[in-house]
Amino acid sequence: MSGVGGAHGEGPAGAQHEDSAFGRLPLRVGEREYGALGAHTTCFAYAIATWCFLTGGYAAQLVGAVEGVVCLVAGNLIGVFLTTMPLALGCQRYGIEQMDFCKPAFGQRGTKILLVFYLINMIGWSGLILVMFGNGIRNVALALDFAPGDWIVGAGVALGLWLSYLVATRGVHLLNISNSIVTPGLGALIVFMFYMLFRDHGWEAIAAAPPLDPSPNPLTNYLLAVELGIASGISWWGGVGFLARNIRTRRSAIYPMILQLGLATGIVCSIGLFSALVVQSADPTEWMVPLGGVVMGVLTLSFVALANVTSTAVSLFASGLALRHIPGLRSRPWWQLMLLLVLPCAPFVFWPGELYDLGDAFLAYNGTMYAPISGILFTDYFVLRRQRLDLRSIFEDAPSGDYFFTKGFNWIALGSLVLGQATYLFLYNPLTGATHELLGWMPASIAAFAVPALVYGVAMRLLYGKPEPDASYEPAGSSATGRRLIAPNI
Amino acid sequence: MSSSFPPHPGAREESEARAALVEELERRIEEIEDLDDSAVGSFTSWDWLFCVIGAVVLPALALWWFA
Repeated sequence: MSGVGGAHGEGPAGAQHEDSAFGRLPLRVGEREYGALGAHTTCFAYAIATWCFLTGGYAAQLVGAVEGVVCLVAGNLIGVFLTTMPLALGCQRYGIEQMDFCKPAFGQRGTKILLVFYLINMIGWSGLILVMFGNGIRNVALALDFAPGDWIVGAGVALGLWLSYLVATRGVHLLNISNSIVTPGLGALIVFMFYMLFRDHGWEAIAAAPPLDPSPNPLTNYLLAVELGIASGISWWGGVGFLARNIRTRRSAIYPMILQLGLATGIVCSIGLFSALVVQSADPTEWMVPLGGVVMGVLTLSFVALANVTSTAVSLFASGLALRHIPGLRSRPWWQLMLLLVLPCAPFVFWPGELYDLGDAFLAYNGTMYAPISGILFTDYFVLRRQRLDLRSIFEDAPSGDYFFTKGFNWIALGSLVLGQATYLFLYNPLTGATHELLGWMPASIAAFAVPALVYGVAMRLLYGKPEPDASYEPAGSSATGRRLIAPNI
Repeated sequence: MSSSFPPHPGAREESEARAALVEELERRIEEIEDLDDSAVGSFTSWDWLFCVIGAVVLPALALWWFA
């Protein structure tokens, strides 16, 4: 593949390439950016972003090192598995991005409801990690004996936004290059942090360090840490489809996600947990200098800041593709879409501290939203559709399309989604901290995944019956030819 | 009665670009739907088993053990 640099390019071939690289056209296998190595490095770069440290810091408030590692690693693996399997296999098979993948379950217009939540998620994450980028700059300045005012955090967010915009407007190829530079450096620095933790403090001190702010009931703390781990894994929902459609083979779409987004994220979260326990602070940007000294601390912070820019750029890129679903934005130039996504992050420039403090509530929102969506997609893709989608209907806005349902909405899926959210909140309300005794039997995320998955599957079978061997369920190689799109939604 | 006004030149270009995009989409849909599954790599029952054990069963046992 020539890379996205050529996408700005010349003639019809260049224009078509731009459509597939920056638009929603299904990607041919030959156009995809990532082989096995590229998928691993990209997923790893995604995995070691500072949000892992944030999660580790939250876990440190509840549990100690041993329990925390189990909750974070095991929880992440389970969460990533549940959210990745349908999305990665489906988006990779058909070369489509994830909002398109949601249409067979939620309907043409129903998916736009998800789009709103998806964009809030991407913008929220971007804003939070850019505040950490700004905090990092402030802590670098403090380590170098400067005493900047609080304004430097907001200025850091503005700088991070500008850098992310630059990377995102230059396409997947530049993201790939940037990952290939940042990832090895960050990997080395995480190993270094791990080494410093064990050299200067040792496992016994780490294991003996008390949690920062536990509740009186140890079992509740453990269960909430499990919940944190699973919700953290499920939160990858927002990035899976974008990565998978750019991957050439199925195994390369699944194993890197499970190993990097699941296992590696869990391990990096655990390093965050250890650091928070040792330093007794949940703010990741306060760990680096005490752990590594001034020079290594500044270097570590700088690399983490770079990785934050890469992660934000990937988020912006994926959100830009999602915006292509909105009719008025389908033909807008790519840079305008990126600008449109950068602008809502502006409040993080002016009120970084205030918005950063809402991070808890934001993480909770992710869990309640993505667990039910993942459950519904799991049932829809594997059980109901048996991994066969009608690609034409995905791009068909006319009511005759298979995925139009009732006026563009599949109310069974949307109702199941609300049921899943209610299930989550019944077991655990993250805003109030209230838990139900059934939480001891099943984590809230798992219940919020399983209940809507089951209800959706049964209701769809009852209402629509067993799928007929129509175009939606035909084996590969036998798609109905001659059908033309009536109202293409591209 | 047909309009005597010629179409706006920009609008015509936009409409042609859109037609080309839809044409390209149609081509890709045909191509990708006709693509044999093996062209996008395999993911066998063994892969599923490996993933289920590694990413669900063992982690769940670990969580249960430490509870």
